[in-house]
Amino acid sequence: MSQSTGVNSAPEIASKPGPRGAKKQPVGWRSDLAAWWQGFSQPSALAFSVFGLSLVATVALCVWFFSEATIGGWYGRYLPRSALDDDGFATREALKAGYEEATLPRLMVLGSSTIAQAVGSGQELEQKILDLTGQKWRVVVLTTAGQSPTEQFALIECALERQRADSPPVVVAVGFGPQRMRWTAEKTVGIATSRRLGLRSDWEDAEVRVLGGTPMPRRGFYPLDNWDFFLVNGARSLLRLALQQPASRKVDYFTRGREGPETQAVRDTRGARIRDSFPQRHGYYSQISRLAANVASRPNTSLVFIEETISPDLVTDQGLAGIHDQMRREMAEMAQQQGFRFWPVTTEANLSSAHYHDDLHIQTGEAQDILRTMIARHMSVAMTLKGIAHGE
Amino acid sequence: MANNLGLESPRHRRLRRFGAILQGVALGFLIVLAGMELASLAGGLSPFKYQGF
Repeated sequence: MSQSTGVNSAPEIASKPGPRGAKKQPVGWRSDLAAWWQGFSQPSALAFSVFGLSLVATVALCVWFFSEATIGGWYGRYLPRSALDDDGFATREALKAGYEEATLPRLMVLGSSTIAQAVGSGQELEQKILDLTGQKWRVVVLTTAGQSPTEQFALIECALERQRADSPPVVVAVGFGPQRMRWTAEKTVGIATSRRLGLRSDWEDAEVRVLGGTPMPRRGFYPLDNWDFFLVNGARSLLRLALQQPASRKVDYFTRGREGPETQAVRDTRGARIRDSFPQRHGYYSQISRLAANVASRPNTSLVFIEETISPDLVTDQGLAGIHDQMRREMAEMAQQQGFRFWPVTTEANLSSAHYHDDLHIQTGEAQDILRTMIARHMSVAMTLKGIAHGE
Repeated sequence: MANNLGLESPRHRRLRRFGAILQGVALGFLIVLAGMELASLAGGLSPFKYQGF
């Protein structure tokens, strides 16, 4: 691929016999490559100068990218580290929902892996709602594995940032079940000091204070305010941005890995946690009341608690039926008193053990379809009763 | 890349400069990324640290 024609060009000179023992010069494309490689691999003043500029430019890129406005905008699609990065996707979705002007009614789903596994990507649920109600809703999936109550405060406040009286209606659906009782004040405050999500919120800070903790300081500079999140996501997000390779979210990935039933030891631990934390449930109920009060302050917004999935095998094996029933009853009473809704979809779906992958997560496919149908039916009833404003 | 007469063609000079620029850009970008990863490791931060507690 030689294109050199000048008298001094390497290929022509290289074809002449050199002095005996002289190093042979590469010819053609090899000489081009050798010249490029020499520049690329050896230190030089030019390389050092560009290195300094690149360092500054990359830091500037970091500051631009890791900001609420960028993450909530088009470039935020490069934020999640991988298809399974719940925290990155939930952060992105909450900021996006908070920044965009909504044109459709929205169902915002919050909860842990159990709700994520039931709802999936959200598109199937959108279709179910459309089929049952004839109305187009957008499902915003804000679930994260092991989601804490304070994270829910932060996600909801950010996602409802621009919700106004004339905005399309929003239904905030939050997972609720016996396994949520483990969120004691101490544990909730502990998690709040680690910034798993890249969000800061007044609601979250107020909740941390109520629980006896001290909110992380805020300096108004995104990377510092969300330092842990920034460090965990920084390198991969910037690589994805540079390579223009956004991750595609896989929400219902909790049936991957282990095959077969839960071991008895895991089941015993899970059952013991639920039994031990049950007497402290009123602390968690108080958190629910505060969340309901916060959501009620946003116009045209309804709050719904949806029952998380729990395997009948776990309930039977660990003797949790009484706890499960009592919690459902208490939640229904609270919903009535405080003006939110409780949809016991798991009980109504009457799923069998075969529908479960493990004690908390349902199988993909039929079980998900049943759960989504139950949620869509509740949406339909709520809209019929005019409790939730109509969409398009 | 100099030839046997100690001269370098303009084409090779351009390629060498291009290589040097690429080196600088890549090093600057990757060192910032490596810094974030190292800080993350040093702080014991892991995406899955608090799951399954």
